[in-house]
Amino acid sequence: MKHFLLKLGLLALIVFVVDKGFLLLRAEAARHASDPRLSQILEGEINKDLLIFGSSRGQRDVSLPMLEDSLGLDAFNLSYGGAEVEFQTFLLQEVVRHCEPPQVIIRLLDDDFELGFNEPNQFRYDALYPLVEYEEVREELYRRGKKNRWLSKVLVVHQLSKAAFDLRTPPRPNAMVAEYGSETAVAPWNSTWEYVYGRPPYDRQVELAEKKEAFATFQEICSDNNIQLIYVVPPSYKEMSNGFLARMREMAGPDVPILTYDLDDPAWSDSANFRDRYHLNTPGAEKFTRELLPELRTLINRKASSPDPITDRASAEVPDME
Amino acid sequence: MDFGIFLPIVFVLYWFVLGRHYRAQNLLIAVASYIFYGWWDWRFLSLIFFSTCVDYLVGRRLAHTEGPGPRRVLLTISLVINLGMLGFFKYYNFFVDSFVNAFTFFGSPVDARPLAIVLPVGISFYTFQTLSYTIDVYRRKLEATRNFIDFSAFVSFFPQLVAGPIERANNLLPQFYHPRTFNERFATDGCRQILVGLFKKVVIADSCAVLANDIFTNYESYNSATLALGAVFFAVQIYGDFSGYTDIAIGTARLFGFDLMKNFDFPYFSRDIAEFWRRWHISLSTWFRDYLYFPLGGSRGSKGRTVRNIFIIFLVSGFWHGANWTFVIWGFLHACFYLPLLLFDLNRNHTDTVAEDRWFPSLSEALKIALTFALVTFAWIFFRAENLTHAMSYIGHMFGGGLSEPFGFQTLKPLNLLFVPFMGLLFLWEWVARRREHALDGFGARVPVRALRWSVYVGIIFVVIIFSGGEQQFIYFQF
Repeated sequence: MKHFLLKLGLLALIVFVVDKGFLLLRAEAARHASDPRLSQILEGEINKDLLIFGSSRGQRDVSLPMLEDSLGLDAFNLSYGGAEVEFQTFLLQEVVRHCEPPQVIIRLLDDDFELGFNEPNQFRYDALYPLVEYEEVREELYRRGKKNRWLSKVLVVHQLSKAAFDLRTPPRPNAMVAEYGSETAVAPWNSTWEYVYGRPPYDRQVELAEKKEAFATFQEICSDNNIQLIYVVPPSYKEMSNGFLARMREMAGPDVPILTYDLDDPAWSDSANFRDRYHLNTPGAEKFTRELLPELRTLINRKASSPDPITDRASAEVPDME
Repeated sequence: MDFGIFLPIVFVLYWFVLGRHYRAQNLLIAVASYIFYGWWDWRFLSLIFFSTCVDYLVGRRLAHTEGPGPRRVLLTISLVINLGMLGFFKYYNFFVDSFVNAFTFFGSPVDARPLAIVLPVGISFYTFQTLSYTIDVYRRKLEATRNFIDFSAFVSFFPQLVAGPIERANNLLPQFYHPRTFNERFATDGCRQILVGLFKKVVIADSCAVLANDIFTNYESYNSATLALGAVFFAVQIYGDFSGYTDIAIGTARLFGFDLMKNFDFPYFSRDIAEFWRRWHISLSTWFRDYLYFPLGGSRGSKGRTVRNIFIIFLVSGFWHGANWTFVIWGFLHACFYLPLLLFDLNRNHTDTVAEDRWFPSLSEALKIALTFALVTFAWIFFRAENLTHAMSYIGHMFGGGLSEPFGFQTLKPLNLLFVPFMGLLFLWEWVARRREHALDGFGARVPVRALRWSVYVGIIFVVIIFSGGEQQFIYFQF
């Protein structure tokens, strides 16, 4: 027995010593992350006036140069393709922790799976895995049960994932992506989908408690940091779900406005403005941004002219776009 | 991770605190097993305790009952209670749904609603294990135990409680009757087997699961070649998952001085279906052989009767896996694959190890292995599918043409394919070790250079840790 335990102890010691070599790989992995935005947040480099949050629709459906020019605010896009509300809330937590909180956040809502499960929209662990060098990232992975806290403290290799071994140099972002965090899609309509008229009633049964909690937390963080939050529902190649909109209004409460596209505009049932069923192409994104700008300007100016944010919120008129 | 803390604690208590008192060790095993099971779902502890009490008491009564009539009554009581619980928790909703569908089909709809029943983890395994005890006592092949603690430890033995091997009472129970002495070679081999099991589960099965899940879910969007590949991924997944669990269970039992039966014997190197079933889930197939096939007459009667018996055990075996017609069809397919071998008396053609004295198989052996693997993989489609419609549609798309097209699926990414070289390495290693208990069996003797041996262990540990994080539940936990 003694010999057996000695052998096990020696094996554990060898594993422990060799494991420390993985510190080099951990540092290297962070430098090979394909999307630099999260590490920019953690390094305190995202100090902007206006931030966009959302999924791929947040990435594609608004034109940041137009927003910046028109609103006079330094804008940056923190939308991640396939990212759901929990991931967006994690990003916001890190933004306010490491960077100057923005004046305004525009968050694009995913009609109609914002609060429910949707296979393509998930927590973007893949964005976290290369960055385990940062304690905040590791904490989030522990919190979400993806890594074990105690094993991670003993073994560096447990902090890593397969992604750490992908040491290919990621392609450099083009000038637009580097400056704004995203770009609109120039790709034309590429789908056989027919426009969908009529939507089934919104089903609250599919809502997930953790997503509702993240939704509320996102708002709380904005409120606590005096950030003006504006929700936007972008067009899809289908009719707007009134049930979804009503539910979002209920979740947002009276203080947070929700802007939608012009529901009567035939352009939003014209495939020429879409890349696919869920995403706009560049002409569509520019048109949608133009459509949003007057309302955004009004809301932001009203907030800027109010000395007391609480009074301001209380008196804000929630526009009804329907 | 929880198991990684639980196991050393039980190990230390077992050998260092209670090492001189084997009855106390048995009590520790029983208590630890109940804690282990309750960790999953404490609500079902009462079920396993009830099942233990029933079979213990029936066993005691059988020991004092001579008449065949009363003995049969006692056996029937055990069968009705154990299979009744299994039937209720596992099959109630299936039968309700099937009856409703059948009556609706014939134009007489009935109103019967399924119940919200949670399937207790491992119920099929421990039910069959306790039944083996009662049946063996009934057949006078085993003496009824007097000690309730020993019997409780046997029924709930935590290494194999939730997914087998389904131990025979006459193999495992007597091991509780005698003091265990720590055997370093035995324990070291157990550690190696745990390592192999973790590798199969975490590196191979969980990686295959990502790809197989994608392909089976989005099969309508993928070409034939991709669907065929999806079935192969699932075949590898289920092997890595289930045999990996078995390796961990057997290795863990060895740390406590227990020898569990072999459950997998490199089944994908089988040359025909009969050999496959002598090598796949051995504890279940031999259970059905001993307690169902032989009582039905086995192969002693006419050919027709043997064919009937074969179909019965394959269908029941399929049904044992789950309350879904897909499992029944899976069993039926295997019966059909077995049938020609039976009719032409070829079912015991391959009782040895393939390429026994050679490094490589002959061309004929290689072709037979490939054909057997193809048949088994085809049947796995039913096993993996959500329902029959899904399975048939998957097969329809798979044979819809385009087998020569390149593979293409969402999860086809370099990082998701990182396991492929390890998969190749595993099967290569298993081929080399195909006459042994497991891939690392006798590794110490085969690789006398300690530094090299330990490098392999350290390498496996690191690979397992790196691949961990996306664990999928063991497939067989649901059965």
